[in-house]
Amino acid sequence: MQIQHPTASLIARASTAMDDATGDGTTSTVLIIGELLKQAENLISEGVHPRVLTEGMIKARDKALELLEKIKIEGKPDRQRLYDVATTSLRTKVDKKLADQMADICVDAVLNVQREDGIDLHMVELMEMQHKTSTATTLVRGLVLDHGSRHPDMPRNVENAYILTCNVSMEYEKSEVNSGFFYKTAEEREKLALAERDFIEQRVKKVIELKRKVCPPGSGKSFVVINQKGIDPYSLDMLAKEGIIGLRRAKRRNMERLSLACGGSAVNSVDDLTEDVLGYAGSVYEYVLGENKYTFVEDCKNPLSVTILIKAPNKYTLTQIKDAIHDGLRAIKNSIDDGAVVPGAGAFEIYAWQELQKYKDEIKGKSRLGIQAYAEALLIIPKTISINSGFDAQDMIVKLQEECRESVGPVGVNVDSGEVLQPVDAGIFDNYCVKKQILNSCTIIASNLLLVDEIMRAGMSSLKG
Amino acid sequence: MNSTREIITLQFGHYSNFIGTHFWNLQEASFTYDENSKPLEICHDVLYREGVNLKGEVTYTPRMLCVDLKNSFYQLPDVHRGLYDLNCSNIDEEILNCSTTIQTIQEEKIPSNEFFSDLAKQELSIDDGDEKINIAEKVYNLDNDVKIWSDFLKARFHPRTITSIDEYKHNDSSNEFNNFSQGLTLWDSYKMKEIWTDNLRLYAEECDYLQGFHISMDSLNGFGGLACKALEYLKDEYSNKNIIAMPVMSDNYILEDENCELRAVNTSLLFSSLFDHSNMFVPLTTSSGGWTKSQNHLDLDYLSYKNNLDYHSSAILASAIDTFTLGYRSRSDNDSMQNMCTRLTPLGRKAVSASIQLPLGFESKSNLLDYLQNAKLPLWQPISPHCTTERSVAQTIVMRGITESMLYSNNLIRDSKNPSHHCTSASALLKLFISFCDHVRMTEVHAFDSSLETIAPFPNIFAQSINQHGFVESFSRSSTSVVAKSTAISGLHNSNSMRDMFIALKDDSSKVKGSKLSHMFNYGIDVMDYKETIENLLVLNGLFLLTYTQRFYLNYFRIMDTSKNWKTVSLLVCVFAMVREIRPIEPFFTSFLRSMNFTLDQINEEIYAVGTYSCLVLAVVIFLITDYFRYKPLIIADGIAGILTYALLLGTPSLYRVQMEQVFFGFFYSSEVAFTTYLYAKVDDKQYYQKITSLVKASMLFGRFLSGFIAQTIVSTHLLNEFLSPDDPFCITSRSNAPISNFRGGFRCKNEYPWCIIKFKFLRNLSKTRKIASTSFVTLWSLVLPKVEHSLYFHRNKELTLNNKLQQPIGVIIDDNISNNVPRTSKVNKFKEVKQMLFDDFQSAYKNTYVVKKCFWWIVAVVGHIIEHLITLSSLSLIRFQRIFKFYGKM
Repeated sequence: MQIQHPTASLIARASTAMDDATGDGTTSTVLIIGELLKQAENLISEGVHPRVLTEGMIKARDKALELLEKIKIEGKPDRQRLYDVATTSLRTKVDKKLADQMADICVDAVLNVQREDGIDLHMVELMEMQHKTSTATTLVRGLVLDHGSRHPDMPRNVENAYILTCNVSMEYEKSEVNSGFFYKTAEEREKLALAERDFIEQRVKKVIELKRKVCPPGSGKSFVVINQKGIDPYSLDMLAKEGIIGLRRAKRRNMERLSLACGGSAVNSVDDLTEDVLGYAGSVYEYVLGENKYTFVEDCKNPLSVTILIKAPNKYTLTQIKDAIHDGLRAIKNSIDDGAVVPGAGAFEIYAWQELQKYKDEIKGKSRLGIQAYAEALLIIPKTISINSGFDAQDMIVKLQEECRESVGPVGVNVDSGEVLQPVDAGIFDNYCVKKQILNSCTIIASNLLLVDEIMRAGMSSLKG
Repeated sequence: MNSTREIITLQFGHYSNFIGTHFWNLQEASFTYDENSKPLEICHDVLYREGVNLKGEVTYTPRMLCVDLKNSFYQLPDVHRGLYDLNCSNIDEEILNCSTTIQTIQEEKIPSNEFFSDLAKQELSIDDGDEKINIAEKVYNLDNDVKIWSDFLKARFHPRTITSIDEYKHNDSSNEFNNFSQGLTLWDSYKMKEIWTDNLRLYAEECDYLQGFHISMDSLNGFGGLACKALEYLKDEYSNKNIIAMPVMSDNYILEDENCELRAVNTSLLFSSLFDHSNMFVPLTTSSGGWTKSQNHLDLDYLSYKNNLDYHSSAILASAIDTFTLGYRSRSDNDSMQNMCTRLTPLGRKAVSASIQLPLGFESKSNLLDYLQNAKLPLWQPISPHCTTERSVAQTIVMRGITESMLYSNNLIRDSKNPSHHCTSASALLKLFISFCDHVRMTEVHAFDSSLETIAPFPNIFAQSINQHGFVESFSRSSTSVVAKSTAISGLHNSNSMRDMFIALKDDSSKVKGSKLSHMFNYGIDVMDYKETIENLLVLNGLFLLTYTQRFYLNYFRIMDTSKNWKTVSLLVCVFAMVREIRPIEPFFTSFLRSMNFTLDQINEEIYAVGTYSCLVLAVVIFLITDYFRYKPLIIADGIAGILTYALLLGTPSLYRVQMEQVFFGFFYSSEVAFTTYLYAKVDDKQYYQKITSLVKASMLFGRFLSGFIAQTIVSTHLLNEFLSPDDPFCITSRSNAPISNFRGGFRCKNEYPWCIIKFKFLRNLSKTRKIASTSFVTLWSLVLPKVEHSLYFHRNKELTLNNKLQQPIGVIIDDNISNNVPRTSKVNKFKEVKQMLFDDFQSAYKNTYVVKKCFWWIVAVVGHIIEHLITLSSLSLIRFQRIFKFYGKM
């Protein structure tokens, strides 16, 4: 998206930064900044100095952050809680039925890759398959590679497989340094070419040797080689004769995932191969879809890397689901990292509005105007929610304010009935860090913009990027 | 190897895609669908892949990835659909999943041009059995219809082929994608870094014997940067594959001066990166200016095309690419991409120019022999900027469309002595012809029967005199018939004229002011990086200048262009010899020393004697040393000694210092042998020896004359007194260019002579110390000093970097050559051999009467010179005179 106006571009950037940091809250950022400016405009036109206004806003922000601490529900979230967070995030992106299913998948995926030192979402591979319907999307506890073996004699389906992940070229190619053959006769040239070929053959033989060692005949075990570099037909042939599945040109990132999913480690040379570098998978099988082949590496012992296999009938749905899953995963990760969640459905905003009204009275001077504006601006969230679900915004706000005053727990918008609900009971939760981030960045951006005397339309070049 | 050696094609940018579209259309046109026809010469599997779509049908699509900006191609017309589209049954099911109602909005169809509507009709007619429209025979004029490349795209692509960049729009003047660094940044976008690389990997995974990549990119805009990053990725991920890069430059852009500079900068950044990351790169354009506005465009005899129309110019370039890559795309399998690259890029000279002739002016019913004999030379025209196709070091020529039956006319009387009458193939005849008319050392020639299939949508650009089969006819073609086939010849040349291109590029890009660059640097290119790039271009430049040297030790190329070479060498040596002789202090040296408070006895017995004896000893030693170190270091040492000689005389020298000075002088004097022998070693051809000897002698004598003349003039006119105010510090700055440098015994000239600026700064309170000496003497002395530093120095740094760059590619071949010349033996053996050889030479030399005679005359001459020299020292006593005389006589 190309945005020409400096203010708009600043807001857009804040929103992008928001997405990078937390993976959510992009729309809220834009809404709140917009609303803050709108509220400020009224006051400024009446002669309030922007400096005073921003002072109030900053005070309000500090108060709001305090309130956030108060309203958040602490404690390590259990599976149900995570599921609720995921559904809250996903239902805004996809169909309800699908969202619930995705939420399950996402929670399982994140819990699987969770390690003591944190969660690396890269370890959740998203694999697309244009096939069947979107409800067929599944979680594979292992890896799905988007390529298959390239030899007709290789087994298509093996069990109890040892996995060797390597980054070793098994194809005849020109050498790394510039060189040339110097030969006098055709035989000599043949010899040289053979010697070169032999060099590659030795590598393959070493792999085969290891296979013979770990899978003695009759043991029911099998062997799979997954190589990041190429494997030429000669080498594939040698491997096929031994009943080894050979996959070539694996994705670079999959090398890391493979060793996490199956154990073992990726090797860069086939010298001194030992059993320790091998991974293990309960079953490895190939699935052919048109010209695309998929290899499933499943039933791993303790997979620290999993794959979400997205299925959909067309490209558009695939992208949509993929985006949704991205957000879902981020939301789950955030809540685990925070160790806390915030009641959703506009509950925090209403609560903050109410508390800020009280806080306003404690403050003397003009800066209370800023606090008032801030409180009003926050209401844009529940307003938008109700407008989006087809209800009257003012109506809803009034109901919420009333309810909030009386009820003990937080209250939010029920998008189905247009009534008030208890988000904690309904299982609607937002991320704590998202809210915190929004409060911080929106206030800063808005006050920055307010304090600018004059917007210079700089040269076109400075606006790009 | 019998199997297919696959190539993956990558296209970056709008003009590349124009060329690519023509290229794939040409490929498609050359397919045969007839099972019974004989197998094609061209193996399409090299560029194409076979696949299966979800319906189970077999597809055949290019193994290609192209990148272009948003809106630079339309939704591909209807004919392209269907290859990989699914039935819509699943979508209905999906709709059922959603509980909301669905509204259908249909996009307005883009009106298709005449060609496509015919194509669609043809497709329908196959189903319905209606009358067929034969596209191959209809004349289309799409010149005005074609705006973008998808307007004439006939070939069908795999869905993963096209990547469209959403960040920038085509022809969007507010946000142009015209900056190299924009491309660099763009690489980090998800679409390129993740999806594009993954698509590439999927292609590579399918290949059994991937031999390399063809990568073409627009070099004038941001796509250069993008391609550059992609190349880095390729180098990293597919390290051992060949990469042939083709930076292309459109002849059709809005000519603004500011953009012109930007284009030059983009191109130079791209070229220097191509040098690092590709195996070979071929800049292609139909305008001789490349990145600058130029009036000269490619001009082919039988073609009338509009140079400002991308649709036309890209067709020519596509034909060239199609033709010159035929060598390794043919079924006969006699060449591979790697062979071609190594052959064409000797010594790391990776830039290669291309050429084309389309069609050959081949008359129908004529034959190749007649054609070649009457052909206008050169046979082909360059399609690389600022290049000619002459002075090539290595070249590959591919000719197509000439079958064996067209070699000779039927009534040719075969002359058994004429080799051109006995060639069995077109390639052999062409090769023979090229070897006669051109001096190119390494020529690889291929000839193919199959001609270029120029049916629509190839533009109708042939001259009227070309008939349907691409031959010249005396009558003009009817307006309803199309040139369906064409002959063509295309070549790749590694020529020295690439140097002109680099010089032009360097000039244009270093012109750009820093302030204008700041725009570029917004996007992350460093000023330092940029400067480095310009330097890099200089190095590339150097590589291409090297060739004269290479000719010497690379008989590999069989280059012996001595006629030019000996002149340069001897000119340089002559200048050196002359300047070396300008030593105005010499005739007055004794009187100078006298003024330094040395007595005559001291001068003759303690000073001159040292000089003379050291001269004697060094004369013998230096000859051997010279030979051992191969001349060059000695020449430099010679210069340094010269400087030291006079530097030691600064101030008031002690006796010891003057003696030292004399030793250096001896060295200086005797190393004369170094540069004369250097000259003989440099010039191989013996026929020039007499000429160069006399030239060098003449220049030496001239130098000596000059020096004497200057000295005498100054002494007698007291010239220096005039402008030398006695109390001023005297500062002399002098520069002498030394265009000789040496690389492993070789010889190299550089485009930029390392300037050597030596500052002799000496403070001398002339009035105090000089009062004793005669004024004339002071004058002379101080004048002499500035004249000394005519020796050579080198800017070693520059040379070193250059050497480092060169060493690597040259290494193998040179080592090989050296070992050929001098069989590798242990050091001891080597010395023995040398001893033996010296002795043999000694014997043979003194048996030769000419040599003995020469020695005699030389002695007489030298003695005469000495006498004359000594007479000038009027106050010498006779005995000493005799002693010295005797000594010289002995010598």
